[in-house]
Amino acid sequence: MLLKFLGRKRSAEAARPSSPAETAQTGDLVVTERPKKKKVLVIGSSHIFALAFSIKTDDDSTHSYDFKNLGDFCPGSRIVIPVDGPMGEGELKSNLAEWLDQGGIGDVDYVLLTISGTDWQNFCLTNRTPRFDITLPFMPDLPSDKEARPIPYAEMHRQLELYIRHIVMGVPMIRARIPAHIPVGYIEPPPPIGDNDFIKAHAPYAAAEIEQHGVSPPALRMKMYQLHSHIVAEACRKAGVHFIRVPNSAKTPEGYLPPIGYKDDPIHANPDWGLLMIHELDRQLPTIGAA
Amino acid sequence: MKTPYQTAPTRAFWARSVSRPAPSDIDPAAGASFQITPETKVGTAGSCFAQNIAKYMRRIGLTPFVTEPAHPTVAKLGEAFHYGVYSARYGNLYTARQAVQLFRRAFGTFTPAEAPWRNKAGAYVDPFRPLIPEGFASLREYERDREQHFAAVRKLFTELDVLVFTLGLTESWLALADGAVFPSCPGTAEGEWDPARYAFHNFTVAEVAADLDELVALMRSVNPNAKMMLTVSPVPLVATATQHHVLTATVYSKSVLRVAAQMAADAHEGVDYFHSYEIITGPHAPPEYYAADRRNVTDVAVGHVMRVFRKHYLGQLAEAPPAEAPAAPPAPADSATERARAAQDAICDEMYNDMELKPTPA
Repeated sequence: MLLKFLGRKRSAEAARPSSPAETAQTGDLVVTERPKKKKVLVIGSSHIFALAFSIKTDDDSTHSYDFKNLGDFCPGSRIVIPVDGPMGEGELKSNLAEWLDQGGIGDVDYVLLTISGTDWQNFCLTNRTPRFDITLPFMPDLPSDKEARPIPYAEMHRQLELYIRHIVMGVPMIRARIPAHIPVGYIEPPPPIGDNDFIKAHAPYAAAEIEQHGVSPPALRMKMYQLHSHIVAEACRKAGVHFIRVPNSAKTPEGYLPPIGYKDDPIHANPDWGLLMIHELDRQLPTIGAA
Repeated sequence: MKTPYQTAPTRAFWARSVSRPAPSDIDPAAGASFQITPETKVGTAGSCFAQNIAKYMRRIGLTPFVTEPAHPTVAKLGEAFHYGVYSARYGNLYTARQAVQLFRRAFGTFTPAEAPWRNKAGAYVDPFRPLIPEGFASLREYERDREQHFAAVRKLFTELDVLVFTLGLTESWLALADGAVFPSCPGTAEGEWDPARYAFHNFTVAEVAADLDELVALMRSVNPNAKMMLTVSPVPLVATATQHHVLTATVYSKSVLRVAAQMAADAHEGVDYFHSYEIITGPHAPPEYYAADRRNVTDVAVGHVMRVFRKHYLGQLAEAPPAEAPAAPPAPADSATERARAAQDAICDEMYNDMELKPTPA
C-alpha cells in the first residue's frame, strides 16, 4: 500500500502571495501558478502512520509527502539479516534492497526514514528484576533511581546498539542505495509517555508483566529513549543522513510526549502529534542538502 | 627398626612418583582438608591463571559462586565486560595485599586516596579495576557501580564456603600516599605514571605470609567456617621492574609465593595449598605444558591440574569424566600479536607491562 496523501489544493491558494517566478502574464490575464511542492518519500514502519494520517487533515504542508510502509513488502522492522549478530556483519533484506535498487523511491527530492523506533521500550516499559538505572553522560541530570542497580552506560549502549543493529547498520545500507544527490533524513521517533497510569490502561499486551513488575519510572524510559536517539543519530551522522529531532513544540517541557499526542497505546503517537512533526519537517527540509 | 624412609609412602620417592609414572599421571597432592560438592559456594580470585578454575568448574557442570553477575538486561555482554571471570568484578588480584585491601575497601575500613583515572576517551577508570572495558561514563556512574561492586564483595566473603585464591606476583605498584596496591603499574593499562605518587614494591616472604594471615582472619571475621584453597600461578612474569633478569625475578617471585602459601596452609585449619604450580613447572612436565612463548600455559597443562583437583576435591564427582577440551598442540606464538592474542584468553593487566604484548583495543 502506498499511502499517498498529497496536500489538497486549497481555495485560498490563489490568494497566496507569489514570487515573480511563479507568475506568468498572458495578455491581460494574470495566472498565478501554485508553486511546485518538493516531493518527500517517507519510508518506515509503524511510526509513519501518525505522519501520514495527519496530512489527511492538513494541507498546509509545504512539501508533498508520500509514505511507503515497509510492512507492505518487507515484513518485520528488522531490515538487516541475520537479525542477531555482531555489529558490521549482515546485509539488507533482499526485498528491500531490490526495491531500492530498482528505483522504488521514484522521482523524489528527499527520502526520510523512520525505521522501527520503539525497540528501547523492550528494555524498560516494565520494571526488570532487579530494577536497573543508567546515567547518561550527555544528560547527567535526569533523575536517578537510587534503589535500582546501576548498569554502566558502556554496557547499555553496546546492548542497545546490538539490539537495534537493523537501524545502525540498515541506515547506511539504505543511504548507499539512494542516489547521492537526494538528501536522506531519519525522523526521531516519538518521545516516551510520562504518564504511568496511561501506560497501565493502554498496554493490554503487557498487562501481566505490568501487574507483576509495575511500569518503570518515567525517567528510565526517558533515558533509554535518549540513548536510542543518541545511537541512531551517531549512525546517521556517519552515514551522511540527517537526524531530524522532535522539536520542543512536540514534547512537554520535560521531554515527554504531550497528552495531545497520545494514541491508544504506549508506543505510538497520534496524527495530531504527527502534524507537529510534519511542520518540523517542512521547516527543516529546506535546510538539509545531500550528503 | 625401620628408618623413616622405609615407612614413607610412594609419593615420597622421586623415582617411584616422578620418574616412572607418565608425566600426565603425576599427582603431587597429599590429600585435601575439605571437599567441594555441587552445593559448595566456591569463590574465585587471584591472578590470570585463577580464571581457569571458574572455567573448569563450569565445564564439568559446577557453578562457581558469583555475587556480581551482569544485570540480566545485559547478560549477553557479561563476559565482554568481565562479569563472571571471578566471583565479583574485581579483576585480577595478583598479590595477597590486593586481596586484603579489597576486603577492607568493601567493608569500609580502608579508603584509598587515589581518585579515579580518566582514559583517552574521557571516561572514568577505577584504578583498582583498570581493565573494565570503556570505563565509566561519569563520576556518578563510577561511584554507583563501585557501591554495588563492594556490596557484591561483601556478599562473597560473607557467604562463600571456599575461596580459591591464586597468588600470582610479588612485584607490585603502590600509592605512596597510603600504600594502596594497584593491579598494574599506573601508566601501563590506564592512568599516568608519576614517580612522586607511585612506587614499586617487591613483597617479601614475611609480607606475603602476613597478608595471607590477615586475609584468613578478615574472611573468618565475617564467615567463621570459610575455607581457602591457595594456589600459585605457574605463569612467569611478563616483565620485571627489578634489576634482575626476568627469569631470575620470576623464580624469586614464585618461590616467595610458594613458601608463603605453605606457611598459611600450615598455620590455619581449613586452608589448603593445591599443587598446580608443581604439576606444571616440575621437571617431569612435558614441553607442551607451555605455549611456544614458554610463558602461557596450555589447555593440556590445565587439564592435568584439573584432573588432580577433581580427584582430591570433588569427591563423588571425581568419577564423572569431565567434558574437557581436547589436548591440542600448543598454538604457535611466532609473533607478538599472536602471543598477545593467546594471552587475552585470560584477562591480564600484567600484559600491559610489555609494550610489545600490549593488547590492541578492539
